[in-house]
Amino acid sequence: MSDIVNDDEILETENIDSIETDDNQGISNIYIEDEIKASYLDYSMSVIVSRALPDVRDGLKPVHRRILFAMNEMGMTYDKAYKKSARIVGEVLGKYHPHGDTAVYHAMVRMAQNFNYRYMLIQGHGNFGSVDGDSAAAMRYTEARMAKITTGLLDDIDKNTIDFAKNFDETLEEPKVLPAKLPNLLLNGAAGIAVGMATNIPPHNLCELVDAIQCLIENPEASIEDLYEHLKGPDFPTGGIINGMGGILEAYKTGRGKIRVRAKAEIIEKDQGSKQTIIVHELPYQVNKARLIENIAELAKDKKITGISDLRDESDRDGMRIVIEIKRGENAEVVLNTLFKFTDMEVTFGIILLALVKNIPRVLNLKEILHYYLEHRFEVITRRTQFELNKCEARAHILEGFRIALDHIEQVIKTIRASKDAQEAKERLIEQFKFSDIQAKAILEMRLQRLTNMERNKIDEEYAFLMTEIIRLKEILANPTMIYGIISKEIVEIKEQFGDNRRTEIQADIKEINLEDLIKDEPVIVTLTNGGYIKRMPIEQYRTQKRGGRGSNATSTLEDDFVENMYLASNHDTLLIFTNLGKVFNIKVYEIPTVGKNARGKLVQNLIQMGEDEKVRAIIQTREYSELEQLLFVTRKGIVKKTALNLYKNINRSGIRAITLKEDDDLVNVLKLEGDCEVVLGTKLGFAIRFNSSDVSHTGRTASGVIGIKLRNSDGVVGSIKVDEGTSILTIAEKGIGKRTKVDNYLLQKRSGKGVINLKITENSGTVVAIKSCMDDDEVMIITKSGTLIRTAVKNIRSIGRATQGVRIMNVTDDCVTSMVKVDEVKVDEIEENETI
Amino acid sequence: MITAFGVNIGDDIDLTKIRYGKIIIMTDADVDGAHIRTLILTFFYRYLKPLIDGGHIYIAQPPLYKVSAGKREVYAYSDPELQRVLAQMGDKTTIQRYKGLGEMNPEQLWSTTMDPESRTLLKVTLEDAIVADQLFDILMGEKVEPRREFIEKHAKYVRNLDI
Repeated sequence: MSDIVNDDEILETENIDSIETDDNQGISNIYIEDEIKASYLDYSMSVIVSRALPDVRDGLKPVHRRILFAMNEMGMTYDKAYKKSARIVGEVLGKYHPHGDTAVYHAMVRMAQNFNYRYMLIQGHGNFGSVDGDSAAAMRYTEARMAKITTGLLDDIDKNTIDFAKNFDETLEEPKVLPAKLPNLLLNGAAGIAVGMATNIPPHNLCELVDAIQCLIENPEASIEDLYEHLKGPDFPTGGIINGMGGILEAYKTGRGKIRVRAKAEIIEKDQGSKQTIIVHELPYQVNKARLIENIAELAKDKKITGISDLRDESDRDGMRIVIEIKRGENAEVVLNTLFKFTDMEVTFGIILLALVKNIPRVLNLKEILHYYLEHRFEVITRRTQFELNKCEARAHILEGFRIALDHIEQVIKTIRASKDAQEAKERLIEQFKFSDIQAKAILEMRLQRLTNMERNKIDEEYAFLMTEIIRLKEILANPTMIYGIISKEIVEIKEQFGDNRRTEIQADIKEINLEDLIKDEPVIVTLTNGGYIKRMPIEQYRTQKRGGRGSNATSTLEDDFVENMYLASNHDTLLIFTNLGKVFNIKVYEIPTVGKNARGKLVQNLIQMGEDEKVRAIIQTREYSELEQLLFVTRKGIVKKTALNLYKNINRSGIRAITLKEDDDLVNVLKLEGDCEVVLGTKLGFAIRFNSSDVSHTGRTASGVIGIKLRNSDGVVGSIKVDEGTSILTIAEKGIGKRTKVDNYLLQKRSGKGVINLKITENSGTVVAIKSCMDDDEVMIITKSGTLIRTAVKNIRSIGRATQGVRIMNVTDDCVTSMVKVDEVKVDEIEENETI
Repeated sequence: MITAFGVNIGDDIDLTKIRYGKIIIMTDADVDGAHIRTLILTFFYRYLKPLIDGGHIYIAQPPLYKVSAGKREVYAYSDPELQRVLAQMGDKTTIQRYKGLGEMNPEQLWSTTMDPESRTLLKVTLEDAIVADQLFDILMGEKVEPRREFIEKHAKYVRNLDI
C-alpha cells in the first residue's frame, strides 16, 4: 500500500478509524511509514504556508502580519506614545500567534533595526541591538510603536478590503493579508528557510520600486528589462557595493541569481604615502561587524593575510569606521583585495524570489511579483470603493427619508404622537410614507434640532454631495483604468513622503582585482636552498651583493645549507613545484616572500600544502604555457612520461597529481622540453641511456608513463638530463669518484633499452648518486651525508671516456656523497640582456 | 532516552534488558508535535530498530478538542469525531482546540491520554523496510531536492495545517 512511487491513496489509511483494532484494548496498529509521511507533511506544509514564507501581496510572514495587526488594534501608531514591547508580544501571543514569545519579540525587533530593514516598520525605543550581533534588551525594557510608513500597509483595513480568518481559538478575526499599499515584499525583502525550500529576497529602494510599478501600470506588456531600467537592483540598508549587474538581471528574470556585495572602504595615505590605512565605512548586508573584525585579526595572526599592522574598530553612535593599518611598504590595494577574497568584506547574496501565491510557494520573476502586487491592489481598491459606495448609498437612503419626513413634518409628528410605542410608530410611518425600516428607525431617532432651517439645508447639501460621490464611485468601479490610476496616485504619494536616495552602490563588474595588476612585473632572483628555504630578491639587490664581493653564493643560509636552485624569474611567472610523490603545486613568483639579503626566506612547506615527508624534486618556471612546451617525467624505476605543459595550468592550492606512480616508485626529475630533444637517464649501478623524447608518446596529466630504461635488479634511476650541443655528463658516485664525459660518447638508442655503461662501479667508487649535464665553465657543489660540501669548477674534472672507472673528485672516508648540484647561477650579463628585451 | 530504555544502542542493542513494556511517544497535538514525533521515530528507526520490530513503540493520542456544554465535557480525538460529538450535544457548546499538552490539567491529561483503562494508543509497526528506508532518506537526508519533490507531490494529502 505504501509504495513511494504509487501512493495516491496511502494517507487515507492514516485515519485512525480505518485501522483495525487488535485485541489489546485501546491499541491500534499504525505503520511507521504512514505515520512519518503524514506527520512530516503536516509539519512541512504548515511551515511552508504559514510560517517561513512571505505572502507575495504584502511581503509579510504570519508572525509579522500578526504583530502589525495587533499593534494597529492597540492603536500604537507613530503619533502615539511608545509602549512596552512585552505588552505587544503578550497581545500577539494571546490573540493570534500561539508560539514562542522570543520568536515574536525577535521578529518585532528586526522590524525596528536599521541594519535589517531598509524601511523600518517599527520604531523602537531603547536598546534594539547592533550590527555587531548584540541582541536587543529584554522585552520588558524596550518600547515600540509602528513607524509612519507602516500605515502604508494597514490603511483601509477596516473598509472590507481584505479577508479575515478566525484566529487559533476561533474567538477573534485576523487578516489573511494586509491591504499593503506599500510594495513591501521587494521593499524590505524577506528571508526564510522552510522545508525543502527557502526564500531570500533582498530589499529595494522605494523610489525605484515605485517607478517600476508605475512602468508596469502604464505598460502591462513591459518586459523585465523595461522594469530593470527603473529598478536597478537591491538596495541594502547597510549600503555597500554590489559588484556586477549580471546576477541582478538574472534574478529578476528567473527568480534566482547571485550577486556579490562588498564593503565600502577608502585608502588613506600617511607619511608622504609610505604608510597606508584602509578605512571601512559600510559592510555588506547581514555581516556581523564584530565577527568580521575577529576574523580579520585571526587571519592576520595566522599569516593568511599579510601586511596588516593594526586593526581597530572606531565605530560609534554616529557611524561605522573600521581602521586597518597597513605595514610600511605594503600595498593597501593588495591587502584590501585579499580582505575581499578571504573575509566577509565581500559576500555572495544568493537571491531566491520565492513567495506564497494563493498559499502556494512559487519562485517568481520580477514582473510576476509586481503583477501580483498590482492584482492585490486592484482588489483592495475595488473593495474599498465598493465599501464607500455602500456607505454613501446607505447614508443617502437615510437622507432621502429625512427629506420626505421634513417635507411632511406635521403629519409625521402627528403619527408619532398617536402611536402607543416606538414599534407602532415605526410601522405606521412605513405604512404612510413608504419608508424603509431603516429610514423609519432613523426618523424616530432624529433630534428635534434637525427641524431648523439650517439643518434642512445641511441635509440637502449632504445629499447632493452623496449623489455626486455615488456617481464618482460607480464610475471608478466600472472603469479599471481609473482604479489603476488610483493605485498609481497612492504609491506616488508614498514615494514622495518616504522616498530616499539609494544607499547601495551598483558597480559594473570589477573583475576581482587582479593581483598582478598591482604588482610590477619585474625580474627577480628566486632561490631554493638544499634545506628547502625559498625566497625572492630584487635583481638590484642581487647585483649589489655580487659586486660587494661576498663570494658567489647569493643567499645567506643556515650553516650547512646552500642555494641549490636559482631562477631568474619575473614576478608574474609561475613556478611548478614537483614532489617525489608525483604531485605538483604551483606558486606565483610574487607569492614568494621578498626578504632582506641576509634572511633565509620561507620553508617551501609553508608556502604550498606539501606533505611533511614530501620532497621537492623539480621546479619548472613558466608563464605562457605554450603548446610546444612539454614535460618529461623520470621515475626511480625507469619510467618516463611526456605530457604537454599546458595540462598543468589549473592547479589548486592543495596540488594535483602530476604523474601516477607505481608502488615503491618515486619521481626523480622533471625536464621541460621545447619540442622533442634528446635526453639521458643515469642509474645507480652506472648505466645510462640516451634516447630521443619523440620515442615517448604524449599522455594525459595523470598517466603513469612508459619504460625509459630497463633496469637491472636493484638498480634505480638517479638523474636525467637534457642534451644540448656540447653537453657533457657529470657523474658522481658515493665514495667521491666521478667523471665527466661528452654526450657524443653515448650511443643514441631507442627508449626502453638497457642502456650503456656510464661508470664502471667498483668497491672503490660505490654506486652512482647523481648525474648532471654541464658545460665547461659550470661549477658544482658536492654534498656528503655528514654535511661536508665542496665546490668545484667543472673544468677541474678531466673529461674522459664513457665506460671508465672515473677519477677521485672528493676525499670521503667513513662518509658518502649524497648529492651533487650545479651551482646554478644566474649571470649578471644574462640578466641585463633579459632586462633590455 | 538510551539510559532510560536500558537496551543500549546500535549494534550493541540488547532487548532483554528493556526496562519498560511500552515506550510511548507523547507530543503536542499540533504540527510541531508532529515534527518532533517524526524526529523521535527517525532516531528509533535508525538506532533502536529492534524496539520497533519488537512492538515496543507506541504513540499516545491526546484529544484534539474539548467540547463543553454546561458542566458536560466531551473530548474528540479527530475531526469526524468532533462533528459527531457536536451533533449529539446540540447547540450551546464551546470548543477548545488543544495545541499543546500544557493546556491540560494533570487530571485531564490522565483521563484523556494516559489512563490505560480509557486511552487510545497507536502501536508503531513496520510494513515494508525498503519503503521505510527510502522514506527516511528522503525526509531526513541531506539532499533537499527529493524532499521538495516529495512535499510537492503529496501536498494535497496534508491533514492538519497550522494557521
